Amino acid sequence: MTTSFIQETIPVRMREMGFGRNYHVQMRTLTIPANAIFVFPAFNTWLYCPYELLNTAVGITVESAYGILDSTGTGYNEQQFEHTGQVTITNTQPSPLTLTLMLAIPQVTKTKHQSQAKPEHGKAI
Amino acid sequence: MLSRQIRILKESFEVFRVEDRRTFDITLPCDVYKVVGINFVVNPGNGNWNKLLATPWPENTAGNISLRWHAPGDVFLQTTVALEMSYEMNHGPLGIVAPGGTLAKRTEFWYSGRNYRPIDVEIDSNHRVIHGFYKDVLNKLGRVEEAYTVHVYLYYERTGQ
Repeated sequence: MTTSFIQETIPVRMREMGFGRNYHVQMRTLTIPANAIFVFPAFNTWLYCPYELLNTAVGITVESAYGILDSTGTGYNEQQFEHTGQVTITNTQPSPLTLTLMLAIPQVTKTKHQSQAKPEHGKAI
Repeated sequence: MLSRQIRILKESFEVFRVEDRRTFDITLPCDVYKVVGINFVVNPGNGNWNKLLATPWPENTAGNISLRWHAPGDVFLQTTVALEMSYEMNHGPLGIVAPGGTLAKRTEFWYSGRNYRPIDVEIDSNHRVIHGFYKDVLNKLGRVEEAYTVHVYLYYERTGQ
């Protein structure tokens, strides 16, 4: 899942999951210390890992209940680029690593009352 | 429970290595109306069985499994897959919900073990794909790399019954 593919995927995925256009997109760049485990609380947040992460941050493992994204070892049959819930990010390297994530955060909106809604352009009330 | 006409959907996948992570998909048939039970069965290989039987108090967990809907994306079940010899009280699931619902603890559930209590989760016609994720514990405990198969049985009622 490349970065451009993520940009195309997020609107489709949000609409598919029933959020429509009611979401925020955020980019986070995390630095994980050497041989450290970082727990990222991504509740009510959808976390997308770009494919470039596999090449730029070799040694990073991202795991959640959705699956695993790992570039180092074997022992899995699929890379999972979409995560949510409690996401565990592990740096297995002896040096700090930086990784960039894209977050899609759904928002709960109230339905506008009809009297508060703006009239359409050129249309008489 | 079994007096009702219940269909069984089976999904199997093989685990190979220590702490092996396996993803799998379950596509529900178009006539699924209500899921009434899920059961996980693990048949460990000979090497793992011999080690387990030789251990006085063996571990009960074969692995951890999580199931989620493709849309709306909820993780609706996170539980441990128990070996046949284990007690069911040690393996209560986190919860199971209908698509789009809130994850909450429920006591009525079918899971691996010998506790057969029904669940009733109605399935909307829009939700047809379940993604699963399994993480091995059995090979890690036995310190062997032996392939074994995990079977997922999904019990459901058809529409129009």
